[in-house]
Amino acid sequence: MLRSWERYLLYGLIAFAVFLPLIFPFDVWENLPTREVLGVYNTIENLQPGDTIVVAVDFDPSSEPELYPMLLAVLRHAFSKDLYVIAINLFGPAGTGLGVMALNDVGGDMGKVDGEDYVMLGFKPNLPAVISQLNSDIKEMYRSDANGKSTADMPILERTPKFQGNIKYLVDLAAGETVRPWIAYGSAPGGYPMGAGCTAVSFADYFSFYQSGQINGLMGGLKAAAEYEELIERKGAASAGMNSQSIVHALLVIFIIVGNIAFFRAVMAKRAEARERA
Amino acid sequence: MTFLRRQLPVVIAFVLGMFVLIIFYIPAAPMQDIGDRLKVFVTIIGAFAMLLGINSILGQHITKIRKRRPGYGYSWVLILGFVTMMIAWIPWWSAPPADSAAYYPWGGLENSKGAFYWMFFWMMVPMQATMFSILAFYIASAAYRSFRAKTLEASVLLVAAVIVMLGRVPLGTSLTAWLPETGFWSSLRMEEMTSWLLNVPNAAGFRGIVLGVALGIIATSVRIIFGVEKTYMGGGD
Repeated sequence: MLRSWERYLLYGLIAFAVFLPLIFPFDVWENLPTREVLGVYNTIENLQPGDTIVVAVDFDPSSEPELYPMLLAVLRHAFSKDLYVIAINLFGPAGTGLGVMALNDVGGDMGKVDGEDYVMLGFKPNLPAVISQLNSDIKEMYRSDANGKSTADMPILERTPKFQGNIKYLVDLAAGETVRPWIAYGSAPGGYPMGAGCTAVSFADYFSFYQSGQINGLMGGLKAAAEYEELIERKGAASAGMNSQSIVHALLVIFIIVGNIAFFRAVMAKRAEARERA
Repeated sequence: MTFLRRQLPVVIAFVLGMFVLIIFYIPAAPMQDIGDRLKVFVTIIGAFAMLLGINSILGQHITKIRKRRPGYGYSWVLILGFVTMMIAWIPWWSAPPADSAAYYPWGGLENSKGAFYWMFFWMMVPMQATMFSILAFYIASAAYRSFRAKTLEASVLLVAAVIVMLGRVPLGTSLTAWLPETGFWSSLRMEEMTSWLLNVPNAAGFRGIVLGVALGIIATSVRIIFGVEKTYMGGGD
């Protein structure tokens, strides 16, 4: 049971650990790219200008701090390679806005045109049905994009009428259970490679798909986003947040050690008391 | 009436279930076209399910307000938020621009000066992100209170958690950066130990769970197709 001063102390320390590195940034620890992140980066790096990739914005604002920097980094990388980007959201309606904002911000910065170089298709319910339909006909499922523009004569979709045979890579940035349907109904039958990004909490869940080769890259949480930012040599929100995350993780380890010391002291005290009674 | 309520749904589930299953193995274009059409149907039905969800959540909160149950003020917040966001997103069908399927008078996602944009990006996004971020405080509290090496299993879990926690941040990996990158001692580097834990014990356990879930889904699907499972119709038998 936590006493109230202990709770305030814990929360206060966590708050300081989060805020101070953001207010006073420093660059001490090297964030080396992992094999899993390199899997996504290298695939995009090796694509040819004019290739099309799909970026699934399968998260909503609750996962925005972790996955939005990842989305920005992937989009920046793709646009710098002159790739066409088809974005989609099959997680929940609230994710569409984040996708639109990211595409407009990054696309606008890099001189890309909505509808020609990129498109955000928006949200549709029922993942398996939507994904399998996109493999054979995008416009049949999406008559208009997320902004309400008709897809009938949209140049990017004229060039890429369906996923199967046209898509060179798919990156699913997932806050929930969307990676599995994308593998089962999209990437595997469609024959295009796939990578994934997820929150740090669900990173462990997707490792079996990475290990089996069903996804060739896996980005987990803010750390992976920071690694990607380093790879594209454009540090952003993820790199800024890594110091906070590092210190908070170290603090959690200290809390666990202190908690265990207190626990063992209590156990020993109880035993000594029992011995005295006996 | 019994036929409509009991037998007909089972017949539809059987015929369509078997049909979709069979066309999965027939790559001929006409069959795939029919399959594609059915997938669009499924999406439309999914949209109706969303309407049912809205009806259910609003119904619950309106009842709560009417009966003045504890915390009914929050129900007002939910209903007001729902109605405001919905009105801000109502399309203006009468005069859409030439290249648009719909036009949003209060601004859609592309209009940074619109009401919907403002409410979405400056209210909903920060509020949801804040809710998720508060987890950091609860995790800290839980780590201090409950992560105890009471048994051997708990101790193994604790050690694994500490390694993964440190191996997933630059500060942690820098602790063992002095170890060589190749050879035997490299396996003691924090990132290597983290990678092993995720790749071997974690992946093995999770693969078992995934296979179990998949087998469960197959079994339930077969039961629905053959009319053994009827709970989706609202009955228990």
